[in-house]
Amino acid sequence: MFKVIISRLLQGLLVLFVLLTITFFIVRQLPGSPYQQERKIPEHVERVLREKMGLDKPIYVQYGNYLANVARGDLLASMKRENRQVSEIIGQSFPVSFALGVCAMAIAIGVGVPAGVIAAVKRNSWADYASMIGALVGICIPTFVIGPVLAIVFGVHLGWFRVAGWGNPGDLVLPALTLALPTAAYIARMTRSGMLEILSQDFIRTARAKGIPERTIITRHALRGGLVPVVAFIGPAFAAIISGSFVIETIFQIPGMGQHFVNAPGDRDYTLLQGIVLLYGTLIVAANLLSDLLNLWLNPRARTADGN
Amino acid sequence: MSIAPNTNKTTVPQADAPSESEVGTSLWKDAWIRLKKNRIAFISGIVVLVIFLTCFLGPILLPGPPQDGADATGWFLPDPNKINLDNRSAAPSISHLLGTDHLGRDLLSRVLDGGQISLLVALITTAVSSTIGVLYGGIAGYVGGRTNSLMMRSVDVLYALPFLVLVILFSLWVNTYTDSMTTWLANLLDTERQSVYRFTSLVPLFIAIGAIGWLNMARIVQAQVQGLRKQEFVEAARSLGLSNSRILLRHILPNTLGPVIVYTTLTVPGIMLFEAILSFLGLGVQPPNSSWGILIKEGADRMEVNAPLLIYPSIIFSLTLLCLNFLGDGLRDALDPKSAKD
Repeated sequence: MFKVIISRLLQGLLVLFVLLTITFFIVRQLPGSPYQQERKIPEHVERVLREKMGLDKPIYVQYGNYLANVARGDLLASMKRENRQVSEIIGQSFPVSFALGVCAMAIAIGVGVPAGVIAAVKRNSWADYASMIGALVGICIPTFVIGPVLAIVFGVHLGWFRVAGWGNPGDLVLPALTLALPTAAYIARMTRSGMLEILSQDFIRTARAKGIPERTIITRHALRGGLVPVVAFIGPAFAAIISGSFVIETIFQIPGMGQHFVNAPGDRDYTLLQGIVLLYGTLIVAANLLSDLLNLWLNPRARTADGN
Repeated sequence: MSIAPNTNKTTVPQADAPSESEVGTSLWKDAWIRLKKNRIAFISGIVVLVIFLTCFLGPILLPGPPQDGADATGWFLPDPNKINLDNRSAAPSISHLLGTDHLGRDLLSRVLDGGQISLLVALITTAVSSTIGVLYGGIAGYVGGRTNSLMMRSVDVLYALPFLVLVILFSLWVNTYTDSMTTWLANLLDTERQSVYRFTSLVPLFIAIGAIGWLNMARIVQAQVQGLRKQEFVEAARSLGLSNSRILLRHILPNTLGPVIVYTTLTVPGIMLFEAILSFLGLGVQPPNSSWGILIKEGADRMEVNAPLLIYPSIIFSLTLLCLNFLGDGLRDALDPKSAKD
């Protein structure tokens, strides 16, 4: 168990390293530089700025310096906005994205799992069909269609929420719902097939034969095994919510990290982009680790099989 | 879940090979029968085919606009990029079946035009990523041992990277070569840059999504090949002195075709959605090219003024995704009954 966690942590570090390296070299491959944008900077000023940012050194020296700085926990200053630290920009926008992501994840699990369980237990009933059709709709209609439609219906016509903006808790509802929908749909489908598989197994039949109430069978015996595929999906689901949030933040004009991530490559803001990618990478690695640990806890067989 | 060697004209000696005159049901015939019984999947396949043909053949077969640029009446398919500021946001009429957008462009021909790009991106990218995935997974599974675990570990590492982030970075990088590629191809084909650019501007998308999208396929094929390589027909092929590459390409990989087809079908809608998200963020297909993602983006921006601009592209896009998903599920049930969901 302990060995597994250590090996997963090491693998996570490797992932982050690879990600950071790819990002570092690709953004520097792009033509142009942070200082060749709309506003022309005098040559000598640019030279000073480049020296200050270390851009005058060979790329491998820059790379080494950057890694050393990251290891010390310093993400350096933004290339575009020289007087602001990357950590400061992230510190301002990340809580917004985080609140959105956590709400969406909670909705996705809170809706997806019960829907899937009900669909599996009441197989071929109207509840099953309704939740599976709902799931298909969630998968096939992209969020950037659902988002604007929700905004029009609930924001403009019903006036329950503001169409766009950020400030009071009500502003979280529509974006979080939109963001949660595709993930909830996948979770519902996975829960359903996982539960169906477990419910057809012998130990469930034994439990039924012993006269255990159906409710107890489902909650105590079946759910634990049925949720294994869902738990394995938490990592990818989290990644999906992060990428989805770029779109959602654009639609609802939310001042989160999405805008920085979408704009940073165009601005050639190397350090900001690297910082954001590093943060996203860390979050996804952490989510994967969490789902691995939950899996070990839920599924004793994985404890021995996963040990290598 | 290995699949029995198919009855193509392979040179695999089989103990109980059916003689020529015997009419057996092959894997493919079986699958076809099962697929036809699955009504939803079958209809979905037809719908996908119809959408595909309409997008690609429609603009060719339907009567085009009059050459002299006069205001024609009657039914024809206007140029998708023809701006007509006198006819902005028009309601549907006989010459504009779905109405026009904020610049007076015909919505129907824009939807067809965007569909060409969306479908082209999805198909080519799927082909790229599936080819990489099949070869990579095939080699890893066939070679086995330390090479296998090294190759599959690197897949694990890549798999844990945030997909969208990598694709965006990658496409930005490939984008820097678009210009020189356009010039090169235009010289090669001796045509104008403009007509080549329609294709070359999409290449970053093909490469970026294709370069990252092969991971799942590699995993699936690797698992299949690992199971197949210990079977007798491989041993027989080896004892006949066939080379490794021939055994892998001619004898092992054809046997993984079932899962590969299923997974390929299920990859297409994923990639379409992905292209649409990128285009929506302004990082995918670039104007003046359009795609369903771009049309939906434009529609969403003007939703309150002209709702059809959002509604029609969204309907056709969602319908295509829905049908592709149904078709993929149906193919899985047909080709791989054991892994069918229930």
